[in-house]
Amino acid sequence: LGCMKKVCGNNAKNDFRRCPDTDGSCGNYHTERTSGEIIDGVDVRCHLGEPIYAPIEGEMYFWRPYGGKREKSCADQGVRIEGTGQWQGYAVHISSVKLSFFGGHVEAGDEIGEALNRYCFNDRGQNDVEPHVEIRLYKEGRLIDPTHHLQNCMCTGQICESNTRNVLLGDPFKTDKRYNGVRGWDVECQMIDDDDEDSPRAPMIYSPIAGEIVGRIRLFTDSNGAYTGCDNDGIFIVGIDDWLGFEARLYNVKARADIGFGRKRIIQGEPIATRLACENSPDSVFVEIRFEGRVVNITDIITAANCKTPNFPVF
Amino acid sequence: RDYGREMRATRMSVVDFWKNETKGDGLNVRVAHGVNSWPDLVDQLHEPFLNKSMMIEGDVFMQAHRRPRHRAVPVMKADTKLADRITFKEWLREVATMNKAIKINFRSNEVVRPVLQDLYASQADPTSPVLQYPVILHANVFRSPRSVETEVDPSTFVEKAKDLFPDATLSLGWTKQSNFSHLHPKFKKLSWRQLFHILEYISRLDQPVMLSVRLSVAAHSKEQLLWLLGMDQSISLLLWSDAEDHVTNWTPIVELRRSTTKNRILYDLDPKHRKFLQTDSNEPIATPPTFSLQDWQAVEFSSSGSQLSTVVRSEKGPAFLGEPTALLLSKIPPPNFPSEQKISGKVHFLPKKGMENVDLDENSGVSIYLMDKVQDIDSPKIKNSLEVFIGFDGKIKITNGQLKNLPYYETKSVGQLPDSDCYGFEVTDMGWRVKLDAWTAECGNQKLRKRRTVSIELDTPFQKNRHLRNVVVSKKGDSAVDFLLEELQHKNAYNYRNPWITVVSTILLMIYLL
Repeated sequence: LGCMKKVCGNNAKNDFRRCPDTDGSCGNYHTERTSGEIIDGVDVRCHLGEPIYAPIEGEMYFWRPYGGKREKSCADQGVRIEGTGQWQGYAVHISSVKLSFFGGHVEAGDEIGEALNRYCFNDRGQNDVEPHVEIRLYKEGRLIDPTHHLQNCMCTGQICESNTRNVLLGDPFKTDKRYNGVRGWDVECQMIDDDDEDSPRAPMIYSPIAGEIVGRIRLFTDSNGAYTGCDNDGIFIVGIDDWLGFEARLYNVKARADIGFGRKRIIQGEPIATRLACENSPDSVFVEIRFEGRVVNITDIITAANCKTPNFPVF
Repeated sequence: RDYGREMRATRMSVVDFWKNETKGDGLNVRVAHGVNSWPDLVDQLHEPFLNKSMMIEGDVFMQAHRRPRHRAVPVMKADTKLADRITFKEWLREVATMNKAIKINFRSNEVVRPVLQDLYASQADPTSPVLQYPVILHANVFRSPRSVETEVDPSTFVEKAKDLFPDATLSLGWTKQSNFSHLHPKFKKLSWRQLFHILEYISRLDQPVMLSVRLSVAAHSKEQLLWLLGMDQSISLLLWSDAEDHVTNWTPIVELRRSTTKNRILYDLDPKHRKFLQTDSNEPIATPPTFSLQDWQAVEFSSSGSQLSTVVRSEKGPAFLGEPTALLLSKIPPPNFPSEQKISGKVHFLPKKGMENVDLDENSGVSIYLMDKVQDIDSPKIKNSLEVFIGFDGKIKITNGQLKNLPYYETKSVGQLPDSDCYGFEVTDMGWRVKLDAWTAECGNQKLRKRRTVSIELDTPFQKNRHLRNVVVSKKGDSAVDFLLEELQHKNAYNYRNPWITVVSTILLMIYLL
């Protein structure tokens, strides 16, 4: 959710062309190109003839980046992918690409064609900038910055199996009395009704961060000081790598028995728990995120509106 | 979404604010027009008590540079000498203490931002008077034929108002025109197409919206205006007239007045027109809604295009616009077999302007899905469900969902109706068989010569449990073919013959067990 796949050849990290390039121009979002235009798109480094992959899943269309201008016809081929599933509402334009097919549904990562030289119509000059393809990202018809959807993408990804888009219940970053009044996100999480089973089963919970330690949280004690109750369960994950310093706490979930607690190696997106299926369990899981011990608001990262690493002040 | 925002007085309707004085009727609102100069403002202070106005209206535009070194400031429009003009800020300070509703007419594009910024600033400034009465922000954003002024850009106006003053009523109107009485009658009405154009701007708004409509236009647009007032949004109307309005048939106006709540329509009329409405009966007429808002839930997905793609719900029926990314989900639980369920309605196709000669996707129309599980909807494209389709060109079709190892079932059943703008339909779901009756229907005033009905049916594999399937209505195909479902109903029809069979079989079963 929110993170795009590799677009070109061996450029696994979707690196942009160098900035500044030989002629001083840049391929970053909203910067000036050689032609003097300011482009609300990015230039991903890509050599002529390298394979191009669909960065998102969606419906594919042929698109002419230069609108059919005859003198630019050698580069006037591109693709528009209108997102479906997790990318509903987004559209990606990639140019210039020689497509191997011109329509239909593509999954993220599918090979769709090969890169063309964007400046083939120029005799000289711009040929010495690094070869690249231009990527523009539209959300509800407006151009948005694709940079962090392509590179160093820090979105948490899907959290609950039955909620592909991290749809939230209530306000983002709300306080919740059910879980001691902490602030966080109430991620909708319905039971899953499989065809071949009689009763609905509890959905899987995917780890929102990469982690090294998993532990159990119990919220309430009874009058004897013992932890009881079916719905009295949750887990925490201590982050590592990109997520160093972060800690995710998930309420209304139960850790997978086969993983166990303690020092583990958790990959982001790994199924680590299931939702509780007690009598009074709500149809949601509650996520709390801490950075260096403090509760932080990272709504954009959870809803995948923007996958940029948040800039927390130094505490 | 800010809760408690509904409570702010600036959001209130003028009629509700002056409940005692207006007796809850928009006809009794008195408006002081063009209060744009110091003398006008002073007059407001010395009004006779019993006849005082409830709403002050001022027009603001951008001052052309008085001297080059002066910054342009928003000023009030007045026919006085330059030196007597007052700035918007001064005006706001004066009217803020008069305890009346204020209506600000934005006369140009450039004035939108500075005025809203002034309003925003005065809200934040503790020394300026707090606005505690309805505030209406008005601009003529739609171009009318024979227009004599330029229109204010609607998207700038709406966006800026949403950002800077979300607690005001937003009022939209048409530009002034010359020689209105000579205009061809076809320009004197609000078409469905124009109405959908208006929705582009207002359907996403949280704040109250008012539409300013000329009386003689309203007289020819009753259906459209009633639909607008039936929307599940706070929408009101301002009907205005001047000497050039000649209303020959008052019935639509009177019906409009009688079939809506009195506080939803304000009147700012020429005295002779006002007199007419005052003397005429205003007993409410109750018209049953043709679409039940609480029985249908809208499920919307965002679209990648910039045009409005959604379903707009009104008591007079839902409108599906743009890309097919929105669905309506029936909240009526499907009955158990052997009961049947029926979905009936009337669809009015409205292709977008200029699209008549374009090759449209021939699979554009209404789709009614019968789905096993509605939790699975996580995309606007529904797969593996039984689909009943009515196309804008009269093609009708029932298609079975995925058929796994069931060779005895047909995949689809098709039919064709004559070309028409409107079609009526009734879908009967018996669980094991689905039947569609569709016919050409009358559209608005256009009379139909002969009604043609086509019926098709399709057998469908029955479910494991005895529930019938859930009902979902959506749009399919081209974004250029919008439609309005003038009627839409989902009903469980109980089959009276069958309970006997159940009783008999239960008895037989009991005998067998004994």
